[in-house]
Amino acid sequence: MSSLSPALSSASGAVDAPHLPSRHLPLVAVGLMGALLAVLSVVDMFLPKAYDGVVPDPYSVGGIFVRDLVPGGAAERAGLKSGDVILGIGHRMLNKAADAPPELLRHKVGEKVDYLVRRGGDVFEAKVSLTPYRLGSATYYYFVFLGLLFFMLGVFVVTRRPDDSAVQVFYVLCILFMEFFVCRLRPSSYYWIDYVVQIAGTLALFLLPAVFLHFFLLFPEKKTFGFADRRAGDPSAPPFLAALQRFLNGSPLLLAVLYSLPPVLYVLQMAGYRHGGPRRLIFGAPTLNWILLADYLILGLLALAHTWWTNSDRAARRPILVLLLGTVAGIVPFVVFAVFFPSLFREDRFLLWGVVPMALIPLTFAYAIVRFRLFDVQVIVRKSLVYAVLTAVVTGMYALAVVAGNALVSTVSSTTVFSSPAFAFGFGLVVVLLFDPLRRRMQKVVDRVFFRDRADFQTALLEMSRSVVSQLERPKLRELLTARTADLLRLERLELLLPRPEDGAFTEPSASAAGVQPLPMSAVLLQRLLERGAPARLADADDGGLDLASRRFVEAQRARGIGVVLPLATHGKLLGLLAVGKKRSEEELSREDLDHLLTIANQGALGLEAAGLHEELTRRAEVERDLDIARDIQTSLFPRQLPNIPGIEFFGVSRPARVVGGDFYDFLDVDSRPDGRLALVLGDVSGKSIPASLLMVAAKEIVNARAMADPDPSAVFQASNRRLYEIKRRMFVSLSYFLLDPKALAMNYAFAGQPTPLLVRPGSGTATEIPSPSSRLPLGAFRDTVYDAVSLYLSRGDLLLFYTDGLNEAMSAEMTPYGDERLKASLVRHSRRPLADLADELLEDVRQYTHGAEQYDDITFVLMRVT
Amino acid sequence: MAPRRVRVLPLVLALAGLAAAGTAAAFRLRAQRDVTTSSEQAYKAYRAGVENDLKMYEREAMSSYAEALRYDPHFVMATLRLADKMRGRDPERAASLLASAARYRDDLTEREKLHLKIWEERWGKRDPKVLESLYDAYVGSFPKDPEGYQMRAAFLANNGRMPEAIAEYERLIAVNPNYAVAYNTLGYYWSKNGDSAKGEDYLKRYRFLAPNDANPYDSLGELYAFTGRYDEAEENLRKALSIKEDFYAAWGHLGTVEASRGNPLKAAEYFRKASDNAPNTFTRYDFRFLVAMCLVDAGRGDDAMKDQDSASAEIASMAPGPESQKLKAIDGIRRAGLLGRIGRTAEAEAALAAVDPKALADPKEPKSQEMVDLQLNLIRGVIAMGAGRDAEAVALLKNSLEQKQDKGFASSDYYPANTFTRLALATSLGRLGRTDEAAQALAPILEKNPRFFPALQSLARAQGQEPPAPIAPATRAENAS
Repeated sequence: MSSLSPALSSASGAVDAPHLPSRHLPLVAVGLMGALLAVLSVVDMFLPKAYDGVVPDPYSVGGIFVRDLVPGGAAERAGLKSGDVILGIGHRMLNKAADAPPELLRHKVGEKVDYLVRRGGDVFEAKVSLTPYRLGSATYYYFVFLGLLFFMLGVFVVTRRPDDSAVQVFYVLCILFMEFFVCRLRPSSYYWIDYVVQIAGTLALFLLPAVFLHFFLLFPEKKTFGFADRRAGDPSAPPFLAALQRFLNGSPLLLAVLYSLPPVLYVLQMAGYRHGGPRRLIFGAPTLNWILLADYLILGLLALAHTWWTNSDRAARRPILVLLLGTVAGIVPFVVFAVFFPSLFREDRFLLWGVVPMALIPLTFAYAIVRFRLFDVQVIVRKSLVYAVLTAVVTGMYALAVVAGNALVSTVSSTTVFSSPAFAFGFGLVVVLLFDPLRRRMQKVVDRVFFRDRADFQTALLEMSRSVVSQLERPKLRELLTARTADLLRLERLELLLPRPEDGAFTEPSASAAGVQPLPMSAVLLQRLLERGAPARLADADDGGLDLASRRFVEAQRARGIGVVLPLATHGKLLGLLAVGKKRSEEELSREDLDHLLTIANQGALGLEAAGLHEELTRRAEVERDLDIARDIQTSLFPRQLPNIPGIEFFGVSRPARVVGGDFYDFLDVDSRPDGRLALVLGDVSGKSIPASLLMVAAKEIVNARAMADPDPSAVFQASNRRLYEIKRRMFVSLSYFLLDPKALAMNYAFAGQPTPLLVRPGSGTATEIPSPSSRLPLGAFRDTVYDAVSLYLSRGDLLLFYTDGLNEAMSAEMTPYGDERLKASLVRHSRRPLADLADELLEDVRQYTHGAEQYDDITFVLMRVT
Repeated sequence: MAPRRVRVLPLVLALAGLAAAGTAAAFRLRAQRDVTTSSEQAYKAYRAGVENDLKMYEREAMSSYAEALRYDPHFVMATLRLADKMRGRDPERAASLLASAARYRDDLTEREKLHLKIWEERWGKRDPKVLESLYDAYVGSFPKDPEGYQMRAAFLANNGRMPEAIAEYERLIAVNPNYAVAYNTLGYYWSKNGDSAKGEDYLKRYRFLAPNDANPYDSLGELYAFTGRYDEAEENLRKALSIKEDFYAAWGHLGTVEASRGNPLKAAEYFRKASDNAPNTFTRYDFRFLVAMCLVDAGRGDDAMKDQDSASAEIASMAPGPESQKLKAIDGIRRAGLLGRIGRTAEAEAALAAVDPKALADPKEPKSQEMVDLQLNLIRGVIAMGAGRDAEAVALLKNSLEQKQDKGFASSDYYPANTFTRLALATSLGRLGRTDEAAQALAPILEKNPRFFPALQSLARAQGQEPPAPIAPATRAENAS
């Protein structure tokens, strides 16, 4: 049994399972550490602690200014009021709000603790019975939710593309966001956990902005600056610009500066504080660090905006724009309300306004992943799940509408109509009627938002299949099967291997020059692929049963990143191979991917076959067209009019064997006067069709030119022989040249490989061959051939038949030539007929003899009668 | 394998760096400890002692320092602080402790060395300039250590530079708001210097900080007693006595409360309790005199004189010396005053004549003799008032007040300064029919305490009105409200 298992079977199950090799352990460690700290923080926030129900002003000094009291809380029950100043708790004096929590920690829930309070000018003591309280509020719930959102997003992405440096930075960014929200933006519990998580939160605060900026320098593509390049031709361009550009474009120093600036700033501020400088903190971190955080965030946004602005690919701009809008909407309120307000106005009441919108960042990224396959991560959102959620949301809206409607009406009117159950029922009914249209409308929106890409993909796949089948041009077909399919399935590499014309070995034409191992027709691998007709994973291919050529091919392809090979076969014939590389997302090829590829391969095989047929038909059509043109040209080369010489009649016929032929005849008025000599040239070029006709044209022109210069037959032949020899060797022209003097009724002539013309004298009743010169070699056979000429005197009533060998050698169905004797008999038999009729009769006799068999040679002859 | 090693290396280096930094930080934190000791238990006991010190819990502080020394006998700072506590009780042992601490001078931190120097100077030459420079050096070197401010403030207060001392105490509580001594001093200062509200604020903080100490209750009780808030005063004073039954000051201030309410006999009773619990002869004698004064106010002059005689006998039995001589002179003045008040003019004048003015004078004070003369004239005025020589009495008493003789007759921490002088002046002026002047003489008293019964009584008499009834304590319900 062959172990070349089809990829479809091996791909099932484990294809999509993410796995992290050991080299990713640091990433795992970072995630675990982040999660542990977050869990500690959450546990600490939700463990009940002793609390007095005071909401202090965090910036008050010389005591704790009571900004507000928890209604029904311990302090309120003890008689404290807003505006009071707590001077001491539990017999310890306090200077600021931060002094209170550790003091509260010293007491237990239910313990009565003495408070020293100043109200106006009065100082009094109150006993506050501490109540259990969980520091984690609804706000903190939200922060935890936000942190969890970031964490899940980071983990989801990194498990799919762990080797992508941008993804790694994004993952760390998500962890830091989580630490920032869960460990930093929390009230201090002063429990031991608090010290740990607050340190983690502070570290996150230092690292987060740098990582944020770092990420947007890598994402969606590595950012490079060219401001100095643009000024390269400008002699006034300051050299520092070039240095700055080098620094910004990938200098390791850039990251060092980026990451070291926040801690350095922190240390400097702390040192300044230790030496008596002002200490300005926001949530425990120096103000300047917050401002630096804002600067980094803004720079990151600018980097993203710049990427969007400069990207010319419209398809790529869409997800960037979505991310830009989401990130701006998330970051800008944070910068304004959580950084600038506290730092400039010492006002932190609006912190939540700045933090709440930050949920847009993970949500936008998640949306971009689902919608645009951000990071090349493919997420399949099940329609049924989305629809279920949608239905739940609409149902909730419906319920809300019913409740809100009732509440609204009850506030504006207390009449019995509105407050009656019937109204509520009727109102509910109206809402129910609106329910389905609303759900449908929202469903469309959901389809458009979440499933359009999927639908687009299916449509694209279908169109691709149609295009592949209907595409008859091989280069375009190759483009469809490789580049377009790779784009569609987001493959890093997809190659089409076709058989070489010379030996049929399969290779990628463009890669063959680069030394890629071709796969010979006889290779075992090809046989297996043809037999199975399914994709094969190269990793499983070599089971020891492969021949050397197949093994070399497999090794070479695997070295090039090819993992799977698919056959393109039809009617048991292997027409090509698709070599499939990794996915851009570095995921394994899923069963679905292989299905798609197999479909495209099958369609591609049909396409290749159709393209081959189309090429053949096209080639034939082109030849036909060429022949038509050649025939037209050739026809135009025959004399349009027969010579009009008193006392002499002419008639010429030429029937080429293949549309165009190699025979020709012509009349040359060599003396250029009405009663001058006339030359008859009859030729037969070796070979047939286009080459023969071309040579024929050349020969005709050469002979014509020589004849017009010197009409002597031997001179014409000798000169023409040399010229034709030079033009084309191993192609000969058999030619006969008759120089007729009408006045003298004399004919001087020479032959070059042509049959001897037949002469029928009046009353003879026979056809005889005219006298033949001694040299009859075809023109162009030898360089320096000497031709002699013979003279013949004609008398009234003489009939001459000048012909090429196509006439007397016309073949019957039994491949027997027509023969000289039959020709002579035919000529004699019809000799008294007018020349045109005579010609027809001659041809008819030949036709009858050949009995419809294919004409193998051109038939050309000229009839001349002296009257 | 090579690439993996390269990845792991930075991780290992980072962890090693983190561990090294943590260790260094731990050592640094340990080195930043303010004291040198080899024992964790000793350090804990020492910190407990310092905490008790902050609350002015003297005994507890001593106990903690002693415990620290049991764990680490070479614990210099514990030794020094214990010596400081022992100084008032057992000077010799304190000196011995200081000397033992000085033996480890070379092993101490800079801060400890400075402490040692300060203590040696305080117990040795006591040169104010040297001490001040040492305190300045301490605060300059350790600006975050509140003890520096506390020591400098105490030094300034002891040298009469109260405004500077108060500012220093304010700085002290800004650095560490848990220094009870600062609140005590600030409370006293402001209550004695015309801002009783501010004083009350500080004293309440003091009370809050040291709720188990009798002193803050006594301090607040005293403030309330002198501002007419007798019920609050009594409540605090009784709280103080519930904490420390033998707290003479609280008994004394209860006496002040009752005297101010117009219950001299009850006041005499409390002063007697105070006298019984007084820690030394001088204090005991002061309270005995107040008992006599109250008995006079109650119309029991003879009983008053018997009490005073008994006190005088105790003074007379004191071992000879400058201090006993001074006390005898003071006793002479007081006897003269008491005799004068009950109309035994001749005895009074004889007693006054027997007083040696030189014994009263402090040779170091340049205006001491002048002050003594003023005091003698004051007593003469009281004698004149008792003898019905009102014009003479008015002249002498007015002169005393105009010369700002602050101490005055019978003035003490338990009886408002100059109160008796003004009461005597108002009595004479009333008898002379100079009602407005009488009211004017009493105005400063009533301004501070509008419910001071003797003044109200004197004013009514001067104005020919029926004297008011003594001020009764509030009922329980009123107290509750």
